[in-house]
Amino acid sequence: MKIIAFLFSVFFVSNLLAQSEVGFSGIYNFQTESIGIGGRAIFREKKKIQISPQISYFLPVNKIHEFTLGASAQYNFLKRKKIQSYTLVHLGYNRWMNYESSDMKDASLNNWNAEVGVGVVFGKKIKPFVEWRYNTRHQEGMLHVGLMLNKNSFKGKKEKCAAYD
Amino acid sequence: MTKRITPFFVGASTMLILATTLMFSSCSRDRIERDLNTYESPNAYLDSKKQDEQVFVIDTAGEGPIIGNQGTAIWGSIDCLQLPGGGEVTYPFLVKLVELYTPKDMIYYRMPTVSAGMPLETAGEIRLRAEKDGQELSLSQPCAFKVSMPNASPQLNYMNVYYGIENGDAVDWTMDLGVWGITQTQNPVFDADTIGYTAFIEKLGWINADRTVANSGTFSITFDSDEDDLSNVMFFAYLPDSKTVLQSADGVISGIPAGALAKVVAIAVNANGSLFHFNQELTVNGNSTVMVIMTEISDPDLTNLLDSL
Repeated sequence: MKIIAFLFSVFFVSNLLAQSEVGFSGIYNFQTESIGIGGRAIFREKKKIQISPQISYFLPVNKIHEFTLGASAQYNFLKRKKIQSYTLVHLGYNRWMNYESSDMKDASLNNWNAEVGVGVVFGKKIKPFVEWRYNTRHQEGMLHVGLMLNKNSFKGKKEKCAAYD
Repeated sequence: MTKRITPFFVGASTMLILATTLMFSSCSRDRIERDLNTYESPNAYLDSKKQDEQVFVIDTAGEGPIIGNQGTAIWGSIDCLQLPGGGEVTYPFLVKLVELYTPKDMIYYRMPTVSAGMPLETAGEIRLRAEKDGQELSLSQPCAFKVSMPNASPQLNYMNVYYGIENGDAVDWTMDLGVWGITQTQNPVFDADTIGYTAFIEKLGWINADRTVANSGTFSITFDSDEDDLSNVMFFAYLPDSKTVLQSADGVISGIPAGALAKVVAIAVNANGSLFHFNQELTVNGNSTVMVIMTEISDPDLTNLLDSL
């Protein structure tokens, strides 16, 4: 039974990885005036609904120093040529490292955040994206700008054999 | 020809609406700005508590005096009064009087005892006005009304006659009648009589029996709070040794003599109309910062607190 579960897990994970993309982004939080960096992967890249584990980190030079580890569910609702748009819901664990310097009454080190947003991704291999997100807990808006890369990003075009021309 | 509404158009519109909604959703800067209790101005509350202006209808000549309900006595003649422009006044006319003899009443009326930023010791403040058919009357020159302000133990040659310079809601005190172009003809020092302090006043309006406490070397108290937004909180300080009432300007009370005991009271009203206060006593030996935490208080309790100053 354990072997079956293990094999199923291996199959499931390898299937996910086969359909995955990875990416990174720069983030600006308009309310806290903070700059951050983010990393993400996207599983089920060809599907309508995608799962995206993500991490973001707002640097200590900001007024807010924190990281968030979570996952998004993304829904691709519109595609036009190489432009794909999507909405997302993100749930994550947030660790607010300098919460003690805030005058907010219920500021705490450990938090659970929910975010909703919309985004647009361009291209097929190296895919720039722009995302607007709204943190429902802290009522803050953020802009993510980044690049997604898939496994074909750095492969050159296939050369056609002259014999088949 | 009819244009088809494409799925792209529908999707783009939906996305635009969603993005706009998100962008204009209520956003908060609470994490980087203070999340403080906010208050509204206590002026309406203070107005509801302040001394009423007493109105006397003078319809015949008499020996006087006019006596206020706190014991202020006023002697004057219709011949000393003039209409705006210098016209003669006829009976009947009105005399209006406000009496402020306690720190509580001076606080309710927001009438600190300060002259050009320097603290004054006070034996009481009155506002004496006269009116005829809605026109403000003034004293003709050289003419004066006699006033006696009640005091249990008046000191001879101690208190001076100060007049109030009204500038909006603020009143500054001065002995200089030249501010109004009046030539002083009466002794500006209060005498003592059976009522208390007595003097001849040469201008109607705010009158104060005062003397200077300090001309220099005063200190200030600044207020700060981790809990409360103090922008609408009104601060007062009563200095019991000199019977001085001070009021904050831009969140700072200044003009406190070195070594003075200051009884600080803060008053505010929140959006629900609830009354909040803060009080602290401190001896001032330098510029100080007081950390404030406003707490809710009932009207009777605040009244008792002000009575105990």
